[in-house]
Amino acid sequence: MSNARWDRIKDLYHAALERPASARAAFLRDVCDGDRALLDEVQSLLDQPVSVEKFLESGELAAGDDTPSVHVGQRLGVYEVQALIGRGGMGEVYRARDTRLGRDVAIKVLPAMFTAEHDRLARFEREARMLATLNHPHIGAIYGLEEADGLRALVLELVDGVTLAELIGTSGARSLAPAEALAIARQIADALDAAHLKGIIHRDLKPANIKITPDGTVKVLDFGLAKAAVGDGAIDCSQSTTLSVGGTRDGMILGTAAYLSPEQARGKPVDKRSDIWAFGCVLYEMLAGRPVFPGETISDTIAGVLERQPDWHALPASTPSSVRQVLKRCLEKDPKARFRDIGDVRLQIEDTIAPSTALAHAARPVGPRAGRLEIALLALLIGVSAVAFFLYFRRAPAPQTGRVALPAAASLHVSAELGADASLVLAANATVPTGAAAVMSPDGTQLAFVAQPHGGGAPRLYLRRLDQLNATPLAGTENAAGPFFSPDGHWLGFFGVGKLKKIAVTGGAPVTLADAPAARGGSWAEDGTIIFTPTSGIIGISGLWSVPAAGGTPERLTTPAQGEATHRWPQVLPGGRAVLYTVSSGAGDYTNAWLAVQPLPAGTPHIVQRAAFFGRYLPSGHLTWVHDGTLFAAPFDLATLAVAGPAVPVVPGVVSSNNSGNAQVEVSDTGTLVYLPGGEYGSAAPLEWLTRDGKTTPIRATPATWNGVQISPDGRRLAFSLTDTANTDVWTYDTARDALTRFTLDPGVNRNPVWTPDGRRLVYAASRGGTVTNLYWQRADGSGDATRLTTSPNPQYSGSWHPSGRVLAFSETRPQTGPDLLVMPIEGDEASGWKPGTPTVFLGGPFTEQQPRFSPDGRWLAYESDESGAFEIYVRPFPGPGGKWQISTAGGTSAVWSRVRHELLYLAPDGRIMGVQYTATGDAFQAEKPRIWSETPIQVRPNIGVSFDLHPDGERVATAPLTEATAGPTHVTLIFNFFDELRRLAPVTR
Amino acid sequence: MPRIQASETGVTQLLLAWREGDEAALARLTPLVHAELQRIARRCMRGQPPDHSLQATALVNEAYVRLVDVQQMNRQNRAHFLAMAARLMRRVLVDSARARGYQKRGGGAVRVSFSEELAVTDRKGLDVVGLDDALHALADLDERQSRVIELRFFGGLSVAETAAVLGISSETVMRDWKMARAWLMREMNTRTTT
Repeated sequence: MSNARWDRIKDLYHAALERPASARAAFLRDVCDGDRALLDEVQSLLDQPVSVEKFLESGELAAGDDTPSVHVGQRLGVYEVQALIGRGGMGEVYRARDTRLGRDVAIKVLPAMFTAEHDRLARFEREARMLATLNHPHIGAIYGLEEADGLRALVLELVDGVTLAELIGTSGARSLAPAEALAIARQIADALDAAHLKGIIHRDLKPANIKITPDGTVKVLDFGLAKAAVGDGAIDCSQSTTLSVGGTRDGMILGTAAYLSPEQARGKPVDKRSDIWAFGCVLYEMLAGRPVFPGETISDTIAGVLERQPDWHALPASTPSSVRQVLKRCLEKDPKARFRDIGDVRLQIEDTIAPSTALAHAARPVGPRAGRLEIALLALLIGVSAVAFFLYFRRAPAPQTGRVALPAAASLHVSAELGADASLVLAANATVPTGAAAVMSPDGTQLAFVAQPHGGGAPRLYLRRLDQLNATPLAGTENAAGPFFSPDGHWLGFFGVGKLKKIAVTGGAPVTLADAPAARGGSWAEDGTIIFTPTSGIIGISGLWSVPAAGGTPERLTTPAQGEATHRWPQVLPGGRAVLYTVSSGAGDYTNAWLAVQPLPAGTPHIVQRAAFFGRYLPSGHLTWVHDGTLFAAPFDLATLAVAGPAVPVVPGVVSSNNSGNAQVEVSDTGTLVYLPGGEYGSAAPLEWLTRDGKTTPIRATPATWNGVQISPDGRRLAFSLTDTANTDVWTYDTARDALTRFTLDPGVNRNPVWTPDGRRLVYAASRGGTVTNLYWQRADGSGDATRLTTSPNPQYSGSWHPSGRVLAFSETRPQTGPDLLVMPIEGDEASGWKPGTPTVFLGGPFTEQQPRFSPDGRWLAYESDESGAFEIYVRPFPGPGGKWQISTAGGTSAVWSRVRHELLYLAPDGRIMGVQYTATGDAFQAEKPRIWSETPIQVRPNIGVSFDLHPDGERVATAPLTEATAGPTHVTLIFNFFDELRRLAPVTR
Repeated sequence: MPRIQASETGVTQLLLAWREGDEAALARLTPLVHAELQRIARRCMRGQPPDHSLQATALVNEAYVRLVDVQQMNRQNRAHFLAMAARLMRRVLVDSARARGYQKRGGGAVRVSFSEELAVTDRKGLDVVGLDDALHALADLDERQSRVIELRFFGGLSVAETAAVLGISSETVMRDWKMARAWLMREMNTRTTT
C-alpha cells in the first residue's frame, strides 16, 4: 500500500468519525467516489465494534475521547440524563432525573465492553445487586442497574456536596480541626463497620470517594465497586495493577497509591484490614493536611507505603493522644498488628469525641431479661461477628443493677442468615405476592418465613427461634405464602394453594379456614378473628373478609367502592377497633395507592395516608408504610385513627412492589423489624437453556424479572414480559442477534405473550388505560398497531393457539366460577383483515381452570385445574365432547407439549420439570407415569405466566434454573430497637 | 515484594547517563532491564494456568520500582525508562508465550491483559503473539501508530508521556491510538477467523 493511499485512509477515517454514526456511510460514499476498495477499507475500520473503545485500552479510561456515550437530554429507561458530573475509573458519571420516582440520581455508564461479555456482566450484576443491599446513612446507595438502548448504567444515590479530597485540597493542602476531622472519621468508620459486617470491603477508600453533604453528613461512595469490576480473579501479580492503572495518569495514581495498604501494594489478598489502613491514611491526612506517604511519583509513593514510617510530627499538637494511638494501629504495616475491626476504631473515636456524655446521653435502660435476650439473639444471629458485637456492647455503662444499656441512637442493623439451607420465596406460585416472606412473632423471639429448600422441594414455612441457630420446616405447609402470627404467637396463619390456613407453631396438621384463590395478606386479631384479602381484584372482587380463626363461615367485611380496585394487606389495629389496609384505584400501580381504616365492627372507612402502601401500625405509636421502596413513618393517633405528625423516611431500600403494593417488611410488637434490603420487587434471573440431562447454557445472561416465556415456532425468538417497578411490558428477544426489543409500549400492564402458529403475531394480555385485562394482538415484528381481540368485563389471560391458527384458547376469570377456559374462533387473513369471533366457554366450573395448551395435532387441550384441591394437569379432547385424563400425579402446573414426540411436560411443585409420554388412539388418551424430565429444579417465576417453554426441537427448555445465584435471598436484615429510632426520627407528642 | 536497594542504583546511573546522551549507557541498561522483566514475568506466571493474565504495565512499573532509585528520577526520565521497557516487555511476553508451548494461534497462548479494565472486559486476555504479528504488519504501514500502541499498551505510558517520547502532540497520539486499535482489532479478528 502506498503512503499516499494510507494517508487518505487515515484522513477519511478521522473525518468520518467526526460525523454522527448515521451520516458516515453517506459521507464515505460521497468522498470515495466509486473507489470501492477505499470505501470498504475505511468502512471496515469504522465497523469495529464499539468495544474497540476499550481494546488495548490502558487504565486511562476513555482517554482523550471526550465523546460521552450518552448525551444530556438522552433517556436511559426512566432516567433522563441531565449533566456530566464526573469521570471515574469505571466510566462516566451523570446526574440524571428518575422520571418515575421524581428524584435525581447519579448514573455511571459502564464501559461498552461490559456489555460484550455476558459472564462478566452477569457477575458484575450479581455483585452490584449484593452491593445494592448495603443500606446505610453513610454509604452512597446503589439503586440498581439500568439497561437501555444497549447501554448499561449503575444507578446510584446522587450525593450533593464536596468530596473530602476537595475539602482538604488535592494534596492535603488544608488540615481540618481535630474535632471536625473526628466527626467525619466517625461517620466513615460507621459506614465501613456496616459494610464489613456484611462482608463487603471497600478496597478503594480515599478522600475522593468520601463526600460531605451540605448538612455535614458523610457519605462513602463506590463501595466494593473495585472488586465488582475486577472480580475475585485478580488476586495475584495482576493485583499490582492498581499501580499501573495510575501509571498513565500521575494525579490519579498518586491519589490511589497513597491509600494502598502494603498488602495491596504487594498484590496480596485484601481483607477488611486494608480498609482500616486506608481509613488511617484518610484520618491522618485530614489532621496533618498532607498525605501520610507523599511522593512525586507512584513508585515513590509505593516505596513510602512499603518502607517508611509515617511522620507523626506532622500531626498537629492538638491531636488527642487516643487518636494518635488509633492512627498508629491503623497504619501498622503488618495487617496482623493492625486493628482487626473498624468497630473498635469507631468506639475509640466516639470515646474521644465525647468520653463521658455520648453513651449516657443515648443510653436507654432495658429490662435485664430483655437485654440479655437481645444480646443472646444478636450473638447467634451474627455468628462469627459475635465478637465484634460484644465489643460493641462492652462499652455500655457497668451493669450495676443487672441492667444492660443499649445505645438508643444506634439501633442495631444486623444481616441474619435464615438458618436453613433454603432461599426466601418472595412470590408464590401463580398467586403472588402474598405478603412479606419473613415475619416476626409479636414478642420478637421467632422468625417465620417462606423458603424453598436448596436440595429441591416445594417452598414451605420455616420457623426459627432467634435464640437457636437453625430454622425448622413446618410439615404440611408446602407452597405456603404470606405467613402471619396469631397475637399470642402460638399460631401462624398462611395461604396455601388457594386457601387460608393455620398451623400451630409447634407443628401438627394445617387447618384450612377459607378459600383464598389470590390472597393479598391476612391479619390475626386479638379476638380470634382473621381478617384477610382472599382475592386480588384481578381474580374476583377484592375486599376484606373475616373468618373466625377457630373455624366458621367467612364473611365479607369491605367491598371496594367506586374508584377502588382492591383492599389488601390488612392489619387489625390494637384493641380490634379498626382494620388498616391498602387501597389502589387500578391494578398494577401502587405509586398512588393509599391507606385507609375501616372501623370495626362497622362504620365508614376513611383515608389515613396517601401515596402509601403496606401500612402497619406499630406499638411505638407510629404508622409505617412504603412508598417508592422506602419505609416511611409518622406518629399515628389510635383514638382518632389519624396521622398525628410529619412523615419521615426511616428505612430506604426495602424490597417492595409498585405493582402489587407488597413489601418485605414486618415489625414485632417489641420493636424488632425484619426486612429485605433492596428495591425493585421480583427476582431477576438470567434465561438459560436447560436440557434433560440437567445441562444449562445461557440464552441471555443478564438477569431480568422476566415472566411467561414463550419460544417462537421457528425457535429463534423468545417473547416474555419484563417487569420493573413501574411497568410490565412484553419484550421479544432474538437469540441469534442477542437483541432485546420492547414489543409493547403501553404504560399499562402487558404480559403473557403467545405466538401465533406462523410466528407472525403475538397475542398478549393487557390492561390498557386502567381497564380490565383483556387480549390484544399485534404483528410480531412490531409493525402495525395493537388490536384488541376481546372485550370482556372479566380479566383474561392468553393461553394457546390451535395449530390451524383459527382458534385461540384462553382463560377468563368469571365472577361466579373463577378462572375458566374459553375458546374463540378467528376468521380472515393478514391481507383482508382478521375477524375475531365470539368466545365460548370450553370448560367452566367452580374451580380454577387455566393455562390451556393445544396439542401439536390440535386434537387435545391440556390445562391446569385445582379441582382436586391442588393444581394438577389434565387433558381433554378438543373440540370435545369427551372425558378428561389427569396427567400429573403429585401436583403440576404449566403444561407444554413437545412438537417432535408424544411427550407432555409440566412443572412439579418442587420446581422440577416432569415429562409424560402418551399415546393417543381415537378418542383415548393414554398417559404414562410422569418421569423427572430434568433433575435441575427451575425457578418459579412470579406473577401469572409459565416459568419455562420447550424449544421446537423438543430437547431444551428456556427457563431460569434454580441456582444459588438465581435463588431468592438467604439473609434478612433485622433492626433491633427500631422503636427508639422511630421515636428519635418522628417524635410522638402527647 | 519490590525492594529498593542501594546496589541497584547502577541502573539509575545508567538511565541518567543515557538521558544525558550516552548511548553506550543504553546498551548496558537494556539487558539489565530485560533480565529484570523476565524475572518478574516468570515469577508472576509461576504456578499459574497457561492462560493466566499478566498485567504488562504492572510488570513494567514493578521493574521500574525495583531497578531505579526513584528519588533521583524526574517524570521525564521515568517516561523514557518506561518507553524503553515497553519494547522489552513486548519481547519478554511474546518470548514467554512462545516458550510456554505456543503452537498455533489460540492454542496455549499466553494471554496478556493490560489493565484492570481489560481484565474486566476480557477475562481471557489477549493473544499476545497475535497482537505482536499484527503490530509488525501495522508497522509496515505506519511505524508511528505501531509505536504508539507499543508505548501505551506494553509500557503504560500516558497520552502525554507518549507524546513527549515521540515528539508529537497529544492530539496526534489520540488519533493514532484510536485508528491503530480499530486496525489491529480488524486485523486480529481476520487472522483468527481465517
